[in-house]
Amino acid sequence: MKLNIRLHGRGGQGIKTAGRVVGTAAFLAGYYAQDSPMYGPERRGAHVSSFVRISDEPVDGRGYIAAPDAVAIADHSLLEQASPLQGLRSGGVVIINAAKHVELGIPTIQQAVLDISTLANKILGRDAVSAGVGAAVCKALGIAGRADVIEAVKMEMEELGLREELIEANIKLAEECYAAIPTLQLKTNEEDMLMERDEIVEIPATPAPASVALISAAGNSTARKTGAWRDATPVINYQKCTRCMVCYIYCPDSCISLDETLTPHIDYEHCKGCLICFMECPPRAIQVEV
Amino acid sequence: MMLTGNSTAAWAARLADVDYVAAYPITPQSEIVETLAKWSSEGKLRAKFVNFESEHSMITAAGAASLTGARAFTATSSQGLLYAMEALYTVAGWRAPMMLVNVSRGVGMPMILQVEHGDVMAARDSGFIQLHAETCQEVLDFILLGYRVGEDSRVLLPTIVNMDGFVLSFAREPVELPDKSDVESFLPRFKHPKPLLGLEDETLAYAPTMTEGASYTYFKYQIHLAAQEAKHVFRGAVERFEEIFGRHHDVIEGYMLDDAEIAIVSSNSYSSIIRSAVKALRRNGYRVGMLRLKMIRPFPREEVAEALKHVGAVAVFEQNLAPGRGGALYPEVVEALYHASPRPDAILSFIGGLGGSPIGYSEAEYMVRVCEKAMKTGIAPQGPTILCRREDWQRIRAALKMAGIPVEQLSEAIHHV
Repeated sequence: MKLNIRLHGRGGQGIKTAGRVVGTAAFLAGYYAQDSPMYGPERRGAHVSSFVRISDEPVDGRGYIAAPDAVAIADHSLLEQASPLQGLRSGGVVIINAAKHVELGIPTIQQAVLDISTLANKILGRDAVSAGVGAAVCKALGIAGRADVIEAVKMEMEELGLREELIEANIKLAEECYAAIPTLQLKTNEEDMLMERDEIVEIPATPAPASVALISAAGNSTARKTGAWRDATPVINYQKCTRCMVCYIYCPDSCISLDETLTPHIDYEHCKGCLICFMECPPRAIQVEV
Repeated sequence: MMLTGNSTAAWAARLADVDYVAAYPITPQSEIVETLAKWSSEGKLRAKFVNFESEHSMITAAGAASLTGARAFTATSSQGLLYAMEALYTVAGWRAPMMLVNVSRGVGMPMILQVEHGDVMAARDSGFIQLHAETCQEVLDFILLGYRVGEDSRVLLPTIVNMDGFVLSFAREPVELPDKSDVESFLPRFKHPKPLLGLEDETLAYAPTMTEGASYTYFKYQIHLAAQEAKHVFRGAVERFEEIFGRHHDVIEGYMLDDAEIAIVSSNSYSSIIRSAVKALRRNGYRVGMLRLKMIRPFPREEVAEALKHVGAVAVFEQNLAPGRGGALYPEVVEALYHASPRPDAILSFIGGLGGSPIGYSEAEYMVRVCEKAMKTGIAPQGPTILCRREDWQRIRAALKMAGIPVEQLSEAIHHV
């Protein structure tokens, strides 16, 4: 077996831990394994990925997995925002945390769907899916048996320093996910990798200011769509809104604007879902949609 | 046991039973000192744990602790290492055999958190022994070996063990943790030949000596001779290491070099990628091999020359870029081969993987093809050759455009083959 898996989710969902669950389970099942997370200087809700390599022989790759055999997506809204399927090899598998089959429009990849978030909310009381995603990946790809997966979840949750009852709850989540997801047959071909080519170019000299790492044009931070970080969305109920402007004043990211009637409007392309507006709204005219 | 590079470094310090830990946090190293701090508070680590206000005082304190006969450990990265640069020369001159784990990260500006070897290369002339790890296991092995070699009275020099930020520091892989008793037999308690803490009835004073030309030359040259001696002491240490732990080490590693026409020189964690690319290139008919540098200081020039003198061309792959020069290791490899007989027809410099850029089969094949062309035509490209993927270059152009730069006026990317 030689298997490269890439996991995608949002900061706070437990994607680093999910990768560790898969790595540890594979290790316990007797494979060589390597797992590593990747994240930037961002925050809760931002896109986080994790890479797991599993092999019968010592693992020979490192860092970013550009052409995975399987991809796990812990938040299906990332499909529109982060291209998590990029490079997924023909015959590969995608494991999605979603309520129902997602139309991806790629006939050469197989899909396993499980509503892990609903199970996590039921068992843990929040959208912490690490144990569930880890177990689902192990089962869907036939990496490790139930006992190894449960042991891996236990080890990783202990490593996080969780209370005994939370560890038990995570094991329950892992058990339910393991039981519910089918095992798919990977059809990727190891030899394919030799055919994958990126053209190498040499960067030409460019005159300053194009060659200086200082942004010299104003007003382009709006191009960074920070709305992708949001995992809870504030929605204004205009029947209750009194146009008091408190939300407009409190929004730390200037994502609430007022029109000529002083009616507030939320810019969802940039709202990070901090919910300060929800907390501050005097008439409680802002609701939260998860 | 599955461990990250950082937690492996912490385990190595614990197993080496260090007496003194000097700490200052920096990404991507912080996990090392955080782990040691936790163990220290839980009583699992006997060492005195001290937080500092900067890397400069941290290194100085670790060096001073080492002079008292304590086994001292510290870790840093990137800007932190450069901030401590003066102190590196100081503790090497003190002949203080402390351990410094550097988790390589590019040096800003431009700002970066991911790996580049500009930080550790800047320390190459400080007098520290340098061992560069490819795997988490090597992080452990090199820390134990580094203490053993550095503390040897023939050497008495500090050691840097280098690992790549993120790619190794945050990656977990299987690591064999040795028994404490085995480590004790490999690494007996450090005894400084002339410790600052003398005998109880002995008063000791220690001050930096102000030298003049001849005495400065004498002391400085002694550091050089001791650094060179470190290679021979390392050779002895790896034999004992293999007896006890069963793992073999050397100053270099050759891979598929025996009948190779072209060799790629590499170091650190990206060597895993180069090795698998070499395997794939072989399947595609290229006669290629890899030479990995495990010891950077002292530079193993005789071993490099012996390993590479029969190949037709050498591609030196590096993850550092000295503006106005190129790769820092390239001239060292060229010098090692200059007086070799036979010697390669072409030795070319390639820079890639900067700031954690991924490399893969394509980069390795490109290096090999540029080498083949140089051998055939007798003309070598003016190096260094930078390795960039077309899609990355297109992304950069798009970003420049967003920043208001007229990209249509930029020249196009070129390629040699």
